[in-house]
This record gives sequence, C-alpha cells and structure tokens, in this order.
Amino acid sequence: MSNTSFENETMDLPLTNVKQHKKNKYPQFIWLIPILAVLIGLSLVVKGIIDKGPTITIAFKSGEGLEAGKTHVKFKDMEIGVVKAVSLDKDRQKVIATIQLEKDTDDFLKADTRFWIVKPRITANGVSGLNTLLSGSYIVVDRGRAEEERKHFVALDVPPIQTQDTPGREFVLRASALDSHEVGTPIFYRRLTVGQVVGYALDDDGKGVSIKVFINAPYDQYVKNDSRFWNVSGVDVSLDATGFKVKTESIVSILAGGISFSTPENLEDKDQSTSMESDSLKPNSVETNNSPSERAVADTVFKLYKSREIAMKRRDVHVEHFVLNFKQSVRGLSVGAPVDFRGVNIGEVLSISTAIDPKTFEITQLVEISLYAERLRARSKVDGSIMPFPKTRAEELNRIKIFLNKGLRAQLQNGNFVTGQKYLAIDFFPKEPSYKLDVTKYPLELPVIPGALDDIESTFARVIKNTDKLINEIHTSTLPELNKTLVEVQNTLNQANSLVDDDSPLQTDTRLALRELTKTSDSLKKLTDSLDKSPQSLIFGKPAEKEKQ
Amino acid sequence: MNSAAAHGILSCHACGLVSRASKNQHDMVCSRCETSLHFRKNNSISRAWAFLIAAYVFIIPANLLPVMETGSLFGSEKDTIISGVIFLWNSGSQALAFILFFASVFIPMAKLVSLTYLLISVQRRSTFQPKNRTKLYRILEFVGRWSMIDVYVAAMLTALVQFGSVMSIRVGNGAIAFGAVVVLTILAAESFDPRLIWDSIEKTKNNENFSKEKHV
Repeated sequence: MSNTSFENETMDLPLTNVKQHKKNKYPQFIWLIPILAVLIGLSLVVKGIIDKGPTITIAFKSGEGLEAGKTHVKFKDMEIGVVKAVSLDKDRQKVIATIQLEKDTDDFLKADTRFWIVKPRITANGVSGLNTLLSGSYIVVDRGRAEEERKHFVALDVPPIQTQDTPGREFVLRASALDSHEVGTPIFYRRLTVGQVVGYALDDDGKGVSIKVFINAPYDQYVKNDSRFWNVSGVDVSLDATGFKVKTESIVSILAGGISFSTPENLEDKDQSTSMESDSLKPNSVETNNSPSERAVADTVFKLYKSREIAMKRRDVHVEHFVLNFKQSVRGLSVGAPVDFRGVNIGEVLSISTAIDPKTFEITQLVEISLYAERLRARSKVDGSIMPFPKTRAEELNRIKIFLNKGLRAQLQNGNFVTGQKYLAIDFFPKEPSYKLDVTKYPLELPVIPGALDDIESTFARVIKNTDKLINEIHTSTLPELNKTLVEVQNTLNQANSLVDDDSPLQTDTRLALRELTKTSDSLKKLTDSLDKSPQSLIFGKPAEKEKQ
Repeated sequence: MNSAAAHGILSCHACGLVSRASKNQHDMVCSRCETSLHFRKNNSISRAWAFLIAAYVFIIPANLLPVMETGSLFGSEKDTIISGVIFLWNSGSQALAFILFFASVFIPMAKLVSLTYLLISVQRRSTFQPKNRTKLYRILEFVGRWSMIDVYVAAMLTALVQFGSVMSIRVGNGAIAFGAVVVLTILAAESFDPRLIWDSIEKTKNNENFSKEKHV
C-alpha cells in the first residue's frame, strides 16, 4: 500500500525532541483581547451617551449659512453644539436646524433663550461678523432666564444688541412714528451713550410704534418715572418765532439718529425746563435729595417726544385752554407758536381754524391756545409769597374776570420780520372797552385787539386808499378841464403863430413901419446935425444953399 | 491521507526542518532549533475568533469617530472616514474618494466578513470549494496591510501640519480605533491556519473510506 511505503520513506526524518516546558495554564488568555476591545468600545459608547447633550431644533427664515456638521453653536465664543441636520418644515415656510448640544447645556433650554446666526453685517452703527466671511456662519445663543423650558426655538432675524446677561434694564417708548430709529440707535443721557434701541414693533392697531430701548447699568438708575425721552435724530433745524435753531447731539446721532432722555428737575425748585443745561452743572446730590421721582421699573412705558422742547414742556400740569377770534389774517402763526406775556412764554398755540357766526355769517379765525398757569406764578407784592392757584372753577373764573376788567387782551405780534413768523402776545390794555366773558363757553374766549403792526398796516392802507381816491378824482374831473384848457392854449398859440408869419399883414405893416421909422430917424439925425452946425437956423431958418457949398 | 499531519510528520515553522512526531505528540520541539512544534497553529480558531471579535468591536468607533481634527484660524473641523470620502467625492476627486473608500471602508469590512466566513466554515468542517477558500485567505493576507493607508496619512499630516493656531491637525480617536481594526485583522488572519480548510476534507475522506471499509 502507498500508505505503508510513505511511512517507510518518512522513517528517515528526524524525530522531534520532547521538551518539558512550562505548560500554558491559561490557554484562553487570548480571549482577553476581545474582552478588552468590548470594554473599550463600551466605554466609548457610555462616554458618547454621557457627553451627548440635549437635541434641540431652531427654525430659521432661510438656510443661508447653515451646514450640517459644520455650523457650530457658540456661547461667548465657545462651541457648545453643532448643527446635525438642516431640513425644511412641513409647510415649507422655515428651515429647521436640528442641533446637538454638548452635555451640561440643559440650562440653555429656557423659553426666552434666543438664537441667531452670525453673518457679516454692515449698518450705520458699524460692521460686525466679519470673521464669518472666512470661517462660515455660526449660531449664537443668548441664555434665557425664564423658568419654562423649551426644545424648539425660532431664530431671531437680526442679532439682538445685547445679550440677556448684560446688566441694565429695558424700557418701552411709544411714538407716533419710528423716524430714523433702528435697532442699535444710541440712547444718550447728558450726551453720554448709555444704551441702545433693541427692537421696535408696530402697535396692533397700527396707530403707533413701540420702541424697546435698553439702558446699560449703571445708567439705568437715571431713568426715573418722570423721565422724558425725545428724538435727537440727525440735525434738528427749526425755524420759528424765536428764530433759527440748529441742534445735534453727537456725530453718531447726526448719522444714525438717537434718543436722549433726561429727568426734569423738581418743579418747586426749577422754574424753567430750559434751564436744565445749567442745572446739570450743579452737584448731583442736590438733585437726588430733592427729586421725589423713583427709579423706573423695567419695561416702564414712556412717551417719545419729537424734541427736547416738547418733551420738557409737557410737565405743565395746570393747562388752561382758551380760544381767540381774530378778524384779521393769522398768516405766519403756526401751531406751536408761543404765547407770550411781557416776554415770558406762558403757552402755545394748539390749533388754528375758522369759525363762522351762523347768524351774520361773519367769519373769524379761531385760534385755540393753551396757557400754563404755573409759568405765571406771581409773588405777592405785599409779603413776597407765591400766590396760590385758584382751587375751584369759580375762583378761576373770577380771577380771569378781574384780569379782563383790567384790560387783558391777546394780540397777534410779529415775532420774526425775516421769516414772518408770528406769536401771540397777552398783555393788559387798560384803555380797551370792557369785555363781557361768556362763562358758559368752553374753552373760554379771550378778547383780541389788533396788533401794533396791524395799526400801522391799516393806517398805511388808509393812506393808500386816499391816494387812490385822489388819483381817481384827478382822473375823472380835473383831467377833462385840463384838456380843454390845453386845446385853447393850442388855439391861441396857433393864432399867435399866424400873426408872426413872414407874409402876414402884421409882419408887412411892421416892416413898413420900421422902414418909416428908420427914415424918420434919418431925417431927425439930419435935423440934429444941421442944428448942431447952425443952431441959429432954429430961429433964423435954414441958411441959403451957398452956405452949404 | 494526503496531509503530513495524518502521517505524523510536521515541519518547523522557524527553520523549516521536517521531522516525525514523537509518540505522545505533545510538547514537541524541533530537534535542530528547539522551536516548539505543532501539527497545526496552536489554538488557531479561538485565537482568530478573539482577534476578529475585537476587530468587530473597534470597527464601529473607527467609522463613527473623527479620524482627523483639523484646526485652523477659522474654526475647527472633525472628519470621519465617511465624511472624508463624501468631501472628496463632492469636491470632484472621485478617484481619490474611491481609493479612500476602498482602502478604508471596503477592505477592512471585507476582511472581517471573509475571516468570519473562513472560521465558521472551518468550524463546521465544510468541504465547500476548499481551493477558493484558500485563495480568499491568500488575498486577505496580501491586501490587509493596504488598509493602513488611512492611518499613515493621518499620522503624516499630524506630524507635518503643526503651525500653532494657524493650522494644526490632530489624530482623532477614530484613527486609533481604525489602526486597531487593521492590526487585529492582520493578527486574526495570521492566527488562522489555512491548513484547517483541508483537514476537514481529509477527515471526511477518511470517514468515507472508513465507512466503505466497514461496509465491505
């Protein structure tokens, strides 16, 4: 058999030695390797699960800059998550980014946490997000503080101006229009930039705008309950009865607009709001000691005034309304024009309209004014104390009656000759006839007298009228007579002309007469000559011819 | 009875000396170089299984964890093998993407699956296409080291690209896991004794012969 032959052949091969070496007691030692691998794998899995933070979704308006796996979520420039997936929502309105956050980020998931994407942005207030030009966009999170938790968010369209952990408070300003305010428009306090506009929204009824402003700490303490906010947008050029004014707050506000605020000083101590500037130089302690106004709480609503003047004017509490009926034109008088009492601004024009008397159809210009009684606080001449305000309506009426009896009248005055702006002056004219106040009317009507300029004007008009009449008279009666006379003169002249003509009989006669006259004088000369020669001839007659020879 | 083992003959895998087995066939050493001798690789199947299972475990993080972490001025990026393949494909280098995919994803997986198949078939004493299975093993052995390309690239870049904050590349955990996979599969392939494929065939032949003889 082949088998046996093969075995015989192999018999020549050397026999293996047998060595009693240490026997492997753990033949299955090799299984430690997969066990180790499994342990490592498990630890990785466990670490992955532990490290895995919450998953959230954020809805964006567009998927611009969102890339799964590449776009990071950052908080204070630290990565805390990454976009896992980007998809459209069911109704194709928004882009939903699914975001995997890192561990220990659960405290970010509050209802008021805000997310937005950082992109390069150029606005009037500066340039931001330039680094994203190269690195790509990223999502920034602003940690909320609400109790309520949430996992689905909607991203902001524009980055908020400050994060929620910026110290300070938010307030709401209500204005009729947004004007040039934008998110980021600076807020000034005594010309210091202390905050920014952080948002705005049109009111639900569409009749106004609510502007959210954020005042940084510590400046937010200067926002008091009676603080006033006003526009300092751009350059404020105004032209009114007081003249031409240009006002700005800062270069930034010229370009980007701004809002300024201030708290009026206490009424009892400071008379005029316009004296604010000088007051601000006084030590602060005086102000804080005397000011009863409390620090405004966050989200207090303030009105946004158009200008500092308007903002500061409104603190007049006692506002009385009156109407004035002007018979002359009120051209040059504008709404807001000052009402002046001997140089003190005590009110303003509220409206200008037309009134008609239903019986006589007499049309007058109705001007409604408001008077701020506080501005006319008078000290008693007797003891120097400030006269108290009338407390009741009757008292008030009584006082007005007394003033009227003293000749209180309103008058339209020319404020600025260049611009033609007018203002209302109130003064006493004792010579004026007494005026019967109709107390049933509201607002009360104050009597008016023509202004000083009106007098001049009317006089001038009268002069012109008279001149006109004179000219007319000359035209109608004097001129025909003059014409007649002139014709006669003409005739006379013509006649005279004919008299002195060359071939006129008179001329001929005259010439003849003159010739005769010459002849006569000639002979007369002869006579005198002969007389000179022989004066005796007068007595003895002419000498004989002989003598002549 | 075609195998040497059946005849009690074995070779030294160190010096190649062929010798006859001693009677008890235990604790044999080469008479020339004193290397311990075995008819077949010691514990071949269980060792191969151990390495293979470890490789299976590591291939998961190798594919999921980032292989390379690139940090530059403009943020950092973590790339897994698959994301690298996708990036290469999208950026127009389809050929490179294919090579990377082939070397780093396909071959390791193919190796694992093939080794598993070989081990199971040997354990079940399968007689199915022994020649092809041997060929498969040879291919495995040859191709195995190529899948280290990825690890080499990552290691090279890490060493070369270190410019501080401007640009730096770090090896991610995925690369370590991937390297472990490659090493473990090489070890598993090494542990596997392809002669076992033929042993089962010999055995069935013997059995057949034995039963034939019995019947006769």
